[in-house]
Amino acid sequence: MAANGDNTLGWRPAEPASSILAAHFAPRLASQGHEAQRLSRETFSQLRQELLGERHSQLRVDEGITDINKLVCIVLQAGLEASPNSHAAEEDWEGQVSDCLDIIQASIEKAPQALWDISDPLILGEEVQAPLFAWLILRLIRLACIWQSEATQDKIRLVLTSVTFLQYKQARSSPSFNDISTFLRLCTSGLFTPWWS
Amino acid sequence: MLRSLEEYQAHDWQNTSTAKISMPAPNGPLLADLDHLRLPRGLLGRSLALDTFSQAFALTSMLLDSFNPKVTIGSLEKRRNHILRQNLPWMLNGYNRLRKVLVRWLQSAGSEVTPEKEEAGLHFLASTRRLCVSPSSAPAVTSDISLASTWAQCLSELICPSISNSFPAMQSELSNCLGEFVQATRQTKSSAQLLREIFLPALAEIEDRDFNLHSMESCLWVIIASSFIISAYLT
Repeated sequence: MAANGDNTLGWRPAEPASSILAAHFAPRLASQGHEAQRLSRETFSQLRQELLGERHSQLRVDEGITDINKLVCIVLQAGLEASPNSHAAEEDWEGQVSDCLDIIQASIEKAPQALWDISDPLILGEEVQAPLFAWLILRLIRLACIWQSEATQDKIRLVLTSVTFLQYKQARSSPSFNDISTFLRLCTSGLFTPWWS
Repeated sequence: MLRSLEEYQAHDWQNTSTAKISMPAPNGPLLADLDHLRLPRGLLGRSLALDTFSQAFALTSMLLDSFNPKVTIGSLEKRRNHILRQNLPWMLNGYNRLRKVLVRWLQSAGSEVTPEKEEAGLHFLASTRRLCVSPSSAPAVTSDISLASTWAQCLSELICPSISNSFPAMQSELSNCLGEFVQATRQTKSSAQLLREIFLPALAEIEDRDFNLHSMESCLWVIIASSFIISAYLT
């Protein structure tokens, strides 16, 4: 594993990267709330490689859903929500955003059911409980407002599209079958507050 | 977001460069709608600055496009038909509302021709084109005469010389879009007549006032001429 103290993780190729990260970081993030530990750029880069390597491998579903939910929450909070380090170059910061979006994309493709799982609000630094898809959509909207580069916008667009499409992998008899598209439609059509500076 | 963009119209367009939109509205229907989804209202507890109007417009387009994306996404691609079928009325309504916002923005008095506006127009046309010619949605859009009529009127509004003259790249894209739309709809006598009725006034205006809209004029001539031929053939 990469520098900055993350090498204590003891990354083992036999274990899914998602479960390792979730197991090691979720408790720390949950206890620290808004002051979530900042993970290094290398951590996300490494994780991205691990996940993309696993993309075609078999994921144990029972392990995957919970871990993937936590993993995406960690990435949303520690990778995308954290303020840029004043010493970090903008390219580095944007590179981290790009890695994080790839991680999210690969994760939800692996275990789309994780989108409906309630996320731990402490990891996300939030006060209410809601399914992952709702936090993910809202955070992606916020991210799209911050990062205007075409490459980042394209990745955000891809994740949003994947979330929308993955919904249709859910059993149609499920009461929450339409929740993702309904929420996305709500955000698209709804009223937000105009204000003028 | 769409409603925010629509509300924005009421305000002074001259302030566009400094205008911001944030979410959520404190008493908006958005919060009540969360109840129907069994989602907590606190989900939208934090204000989110959506930045300038043009950025909010682009973001709204992105959200609409997530139901009919430009990209293909591997194994999920086969679900595109189902998604389009299920969300088509909402999407058409959304694009129509966005089109109204766009037209008002592009025509706003005293506003400048900016790259942001042209980019927004081009993006909108690309999305519209994708929707109208997609094998999944085209049959619904083009076989329903009232839907086809609505879309033709939407497109004819964008032909308006005050817009087309100012945004040449849009003129070219609109010509392509019109061509494909017409190709998809000109199957029946009624649609041929409809297209002629909708686009003939636009062509007449371009010819009468000698606008510099050559590609648009050519495109409209093709539409008008072909609709006459089809009408004659089907009579």
